[in-house]
Amino acid sequence: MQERLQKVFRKVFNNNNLIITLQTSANDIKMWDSITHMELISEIEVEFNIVFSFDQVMQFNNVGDMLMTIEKLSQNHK
Amino acid sequence: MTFISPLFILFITIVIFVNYLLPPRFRYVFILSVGLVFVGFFNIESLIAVLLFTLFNFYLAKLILNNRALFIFGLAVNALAIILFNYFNSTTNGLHFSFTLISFQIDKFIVAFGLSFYSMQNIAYLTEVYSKRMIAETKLAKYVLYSVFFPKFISGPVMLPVEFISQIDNNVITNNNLIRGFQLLLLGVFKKMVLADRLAPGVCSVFDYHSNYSGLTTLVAAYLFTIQMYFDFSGYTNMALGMAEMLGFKLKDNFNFPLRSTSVSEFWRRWHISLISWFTKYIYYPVVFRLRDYKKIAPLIGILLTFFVSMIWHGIGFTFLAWAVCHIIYLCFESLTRKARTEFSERFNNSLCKMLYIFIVFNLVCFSNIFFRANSFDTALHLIKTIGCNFIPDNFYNGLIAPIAVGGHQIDEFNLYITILLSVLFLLFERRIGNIVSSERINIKYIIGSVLLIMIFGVFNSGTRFIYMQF
Amino acid sequence: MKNFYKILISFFLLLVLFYGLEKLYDFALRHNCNIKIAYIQKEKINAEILIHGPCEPLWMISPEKLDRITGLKSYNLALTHSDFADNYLHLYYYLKNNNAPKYLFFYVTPESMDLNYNTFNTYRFAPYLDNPTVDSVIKECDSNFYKWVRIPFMRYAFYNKNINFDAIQGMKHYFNNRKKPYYVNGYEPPFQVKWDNHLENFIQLYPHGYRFEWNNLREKYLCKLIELAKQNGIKVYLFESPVLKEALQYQPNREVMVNRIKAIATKYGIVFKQFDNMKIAESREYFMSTLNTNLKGSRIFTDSLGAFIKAEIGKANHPE
Repeated sequence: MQERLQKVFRKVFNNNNLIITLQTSANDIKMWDSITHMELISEIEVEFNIVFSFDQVMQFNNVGDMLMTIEKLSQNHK
Repeated sequence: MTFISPLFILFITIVIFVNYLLPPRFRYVFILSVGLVFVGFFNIESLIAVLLFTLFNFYLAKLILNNRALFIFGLAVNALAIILFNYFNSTTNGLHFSFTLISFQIDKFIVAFGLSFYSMQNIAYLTEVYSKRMIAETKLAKYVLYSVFFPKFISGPVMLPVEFISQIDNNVITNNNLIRGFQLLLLGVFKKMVLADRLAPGVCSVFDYHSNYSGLTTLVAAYLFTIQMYFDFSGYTNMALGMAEMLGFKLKDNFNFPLRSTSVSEFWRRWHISLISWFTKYIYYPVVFRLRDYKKIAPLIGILLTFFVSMIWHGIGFTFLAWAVCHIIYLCFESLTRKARTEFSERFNNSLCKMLYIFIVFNLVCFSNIFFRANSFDTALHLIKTIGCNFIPDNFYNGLIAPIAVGGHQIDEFNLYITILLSVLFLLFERRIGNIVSSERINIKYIIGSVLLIMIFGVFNSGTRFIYMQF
Repeated sequence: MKNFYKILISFFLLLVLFYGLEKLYDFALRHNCNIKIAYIQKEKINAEILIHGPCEPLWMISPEKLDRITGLKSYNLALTHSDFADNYLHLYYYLKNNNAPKYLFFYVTPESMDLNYNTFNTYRFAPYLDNPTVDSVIKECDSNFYKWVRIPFMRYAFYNKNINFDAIQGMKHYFNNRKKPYYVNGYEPPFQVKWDNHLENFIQLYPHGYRFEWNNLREKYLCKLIELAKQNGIKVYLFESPVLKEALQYQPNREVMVNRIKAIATKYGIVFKQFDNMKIAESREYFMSTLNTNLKGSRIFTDSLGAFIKAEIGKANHPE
């Protein structure tokens, strides 16, 4: 799942060499700011076929948080 | 009375001293009372207004859980407060330009300005409680302290309740806090008195008492105004953070060397951080989240709405509208060209290019600030026209130096050169100075140097002696 | 403990530095011969006619010209935007070091009675705070400044913008052993030759005209000045130079103010001479601003003033 997420990151930030870890946050990626954040969220939703709630999005501090929520939502689908 | 007056200095020293000696459990009550006295000192009506709003928000927060109607009601009341206070100020004084510049003129409408910041904190608080991201505060005293903490009351930084209230219980003041707080306070005083206040008259003379100045003069004045605003506001922030640190509280920093930004988006991440975080979190994100399916449009609408609200908050007038429009255009352009610009900047990445980007961003910001500072839309247009049509002054000395030096004599020229020299040197060495200040050791050279510079070059009597009808 | 010592060292170092700086500025400002109050204490000018007031007489009246007309030695003691208290202290110091002149021609207008015009330039007198007269005047006219004065160097820090350059220039004069000011007889020719939009800006600020407000502190120091002059046996004349006629419509209570000035003159038995019927008042060609004549207008006015003074001297010598 982290691989798929990494693919999305690479697409949104237009960088095919981007590597993300559980600790990666907005501070680590130059192009990741409030303007691109929502685009990222939207792409993730499309990729994993889930819908985040606003509160969930607001709680994300790093990639680790995102993955946890993605897993939770994907399981709910099944 | 200004912030820098014997009375206030005495007040601060006593407060910090007493607070340090008090056992930690009693400190917040003491600071709370000090805060109430501080607000009430200027204007008893403001104190009553503040207390009423505090009580209103405190009790409302306990009731809004799962009650959408009450939540909207609470938001509306606080938003109304902001509009009311802004409107009140522009009618009583006819002023259009931002509270940030006159935040030092302690007058009754300034405390009303403080109420703008204060209302934003209340909106943040209600939103956090309603979204269940935070539990409503149970101790009224703590909530009142959060609202009325005097270092941040007048002009921010805007703190979220969770960031501040959690510090009340763990209040610890070490020697390092005192040292760092004091050095930070000193830095703020220096920026305000030696840099911002020295730049002010020159800016005023071009923007307020303009005649037919050349474009170059207007441009230089716009540059100086942006720098002045930066020093003024970041200086105030330093003072607020310094005082807070000496009282054992860590407030959010508001500035991160914004004039070194390489894009306008980056500028807004480095300028007035606490305010922009508020706008981002409570306006931008909710809007863009709801529209996130419209990939490219969503950020644009978000930017539009955010700046629209920001404009209303700063003041009501066509000049603020124009200023907001400038930034909306800049940010939308950056949002749409993000990919291209990233590639471009990766290819051209050396320090010379970086300086070019910084220069471009600085010019864009200064241009928008012409609207921000001008007294009316017509004045702003007139000034901008001069940049286009009448750029070079006929007489370099009379057209450029004299207006900005506010006088044609050697002494005025001398003062102007000193001002510019100090500003430029400071901007160049800002980071190093910041490191000295934030280290936890007393730096004797820094303290003596800043106090010396403040005494020899600082402005002690801003404005009171300026008489237009001179001669 | 180490911190405590650091704080103590910083504090004492600062005290010493500021004390030293204060003495340095003191010395430098007393040696700057371009500063009138320093110059008149060092040089024996001993003029027979003193011209005094704010920038209007400073920029209008050339002692050289006046000397040729009157045959007496004159000196221009006026200074830019100085109010009566400022003028008073300058006269006081002039008389300390110089023989009292026979005549004092002092410029007074409705503008001088209003706080919006001119000011007490405290920084000029900071080096002389140890003098009780200076001390009491500053205490009364600039209490804001006065309360800081005991802190070392504060008297110069407070208005440092007006002083730093002068202090440096003072040291330069000291090292070059310079004795004479740039403008030797006190007169400074107007630096602007033509109209400077003063009236347009004025109308913009006060579209419905400006009502002067009589200030009692100003009146007090006007009287003090006249009394000081009389005590020293000087014959005092108050005068007003031509005012641009075009501006009069925006000053609805000018007459009222003029009458009050006349009342003061009558009280002291002195003349208030208004040069209000001169032809130059009708055209901007002779003015820089509503009150200040330019070079062209000043020459014409000085001729008139000189003639008036000569006539007065004649009357004094041959009373009939």
